[in-house]
Amino acid sequence: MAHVLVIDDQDRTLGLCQRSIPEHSYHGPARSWAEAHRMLRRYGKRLDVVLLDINFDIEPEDLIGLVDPSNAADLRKAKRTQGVLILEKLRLGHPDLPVILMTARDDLPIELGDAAEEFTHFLEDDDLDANALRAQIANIVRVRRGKEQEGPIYWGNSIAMRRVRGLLQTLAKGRLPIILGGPTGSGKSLIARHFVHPNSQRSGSFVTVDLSTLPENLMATHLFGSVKGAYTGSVADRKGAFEEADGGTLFLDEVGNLSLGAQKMLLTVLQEGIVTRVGDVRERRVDVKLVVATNEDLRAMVREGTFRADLLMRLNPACTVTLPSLTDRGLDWVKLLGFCVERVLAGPYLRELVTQYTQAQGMPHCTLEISDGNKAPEPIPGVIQLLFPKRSMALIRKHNWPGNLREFSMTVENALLFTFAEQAQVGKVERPDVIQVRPRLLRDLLRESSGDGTQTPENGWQVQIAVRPNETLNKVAADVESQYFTQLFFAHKGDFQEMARVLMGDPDCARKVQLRFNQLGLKVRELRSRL
Amino acid sequence: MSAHLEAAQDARHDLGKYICMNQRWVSDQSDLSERVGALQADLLRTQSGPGGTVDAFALWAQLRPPLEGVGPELIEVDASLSRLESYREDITQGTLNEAQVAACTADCKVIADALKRLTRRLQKES
Repeated sequence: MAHVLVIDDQDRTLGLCQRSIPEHSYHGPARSWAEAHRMLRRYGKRLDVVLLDINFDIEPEDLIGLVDPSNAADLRKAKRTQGVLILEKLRLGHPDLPVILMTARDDLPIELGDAAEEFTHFLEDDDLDANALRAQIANIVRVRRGKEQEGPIYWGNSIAMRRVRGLLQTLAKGRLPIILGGPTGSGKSLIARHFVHPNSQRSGSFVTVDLSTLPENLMATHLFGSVKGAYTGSVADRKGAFEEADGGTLFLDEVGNLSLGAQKMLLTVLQEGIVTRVGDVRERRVDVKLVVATNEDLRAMVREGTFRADLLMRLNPACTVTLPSLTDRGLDWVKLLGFCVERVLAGPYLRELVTQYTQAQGMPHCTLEISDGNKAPEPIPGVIQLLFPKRSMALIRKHNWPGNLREFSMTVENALLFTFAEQAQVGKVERPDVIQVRPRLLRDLLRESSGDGTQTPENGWQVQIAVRPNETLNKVAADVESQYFTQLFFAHKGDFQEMARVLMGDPDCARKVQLRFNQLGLKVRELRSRL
Repeated sequence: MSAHLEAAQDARHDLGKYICMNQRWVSDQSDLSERVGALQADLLRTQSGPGGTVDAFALWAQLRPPLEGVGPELIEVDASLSRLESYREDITQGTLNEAQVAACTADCKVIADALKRLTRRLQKES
């Protein structure tokens, strides 16, 4: 089931959708930007797709972009282009929400500009029927959900992670090794096991070796195997990880910990494709897809003499895939919360706590959904809404998450554990379908995990700017301002509402900020591609 | 943008887009009553919103004057709407037979297609 918001001044599309494509949940119709804005705030995080009309025959006071209501030409233009103006507004807060424009691209009254990117789709009037729309919604939802999450991996929708995914999909099929970089907890081993191995199209096993936990003197035998009597206590022949992974994938975590002796042997395996067990003379051919992970700088280790340069060259360093830290991923935090909640609820103890709660409140068989905002959300039949108030969400957004996804997942698990444990003590409540995750609990958990708290600058944003000579003072000032705005853009992950809040104390001034970007000649689309 | 093109765009959107909409959403294999219902919605409640409903005939009466003399497409729309008008009583009462429904549906498609062609032609010419 998908959640669909219909933005249309007429009732017809919604009625047709509800009757002919009943498998989805519809919201609306929102007959103006003001109504759409309210509904986006209420349902935004839950929405999968928006159906948007172009022409809005509504009262002048409900139109956006209307310069002179008494001018018939202005009024007509505002009505005929209202859908495009709504789309531009919508994109400020929801840059990646798929929108289906109910018109042919050729029939658009004005150019779409930045709003016409990959998340905007068109549906020709002639194709506007149940089958075409059903297929289009299904396709959008499949691609969107498939791209965002995959088994235990949360990719999200950021350009950085989509690049990583695309790169790994290509590299997985080849025979060359893959180096996975990135900070601790960013999901390197998850991706190796659940993405690289399945995409390698190899029928053998996935074998993982954490080199940070292996004593140096056991590394060689563990990786390459040994024969009886090779060392004291070696009572039988033993296969190593390479042989176990033959035909499959071998994942070496923390490869920077590999001893120099084992590095030499690994080099031989990579060069010749053969392993020799410790104490043996027989060579065994192996076909292994090697994936190594590290959060260390292997080139620096080469310079220091702790990692072999020839081995690094064999590990295919040109195609190193570096996973971004959690805060650099431009995440939709509510969706990530939903993803993590679903995963941690699979654990028996938490599941039991939730079941106890739902039974005590007389609402068995409910599912959990994430909601954010300060107001109690509207009830949804069969759903318990885990409400993260604005202050809780602000804490989550502003924390620097040094432990990345691992830390995030543990924080969510702890938050749920304490929240449900507290609920069990409370007894009957007025709205059992809404459970609040209190800011104080999150603050305590985050303080405990990192010891610092949030990273909001106390005295405004301080950035480094190069003052460069130019022909006029205006040009110098524009250059300085451009640098400042660019840094602000990246600091806030391209969220104009957040930038407006920082600059003007009002997120609704996002349009003004975007306008300033245009005046300065800053290309938003280009900046977004660098996020 | 020329006045004719603007008027044609209005007609394409307000009438051409909606005169077939419900009919497109029901299958050819649907019950006769369902297809008649779709025809009623498209012709008698062509525009519907909080402000009320307007039928296709009244809409065309509003939309046509600024298009006077613009081309042969208007004659197609006039002729189709005139045929549909002759069935108006049966459409309102829901007493159309299979053949009549088929004829009405064909005329609705002619109107949508003629207005689309007219708009595209004027766009190219402008």
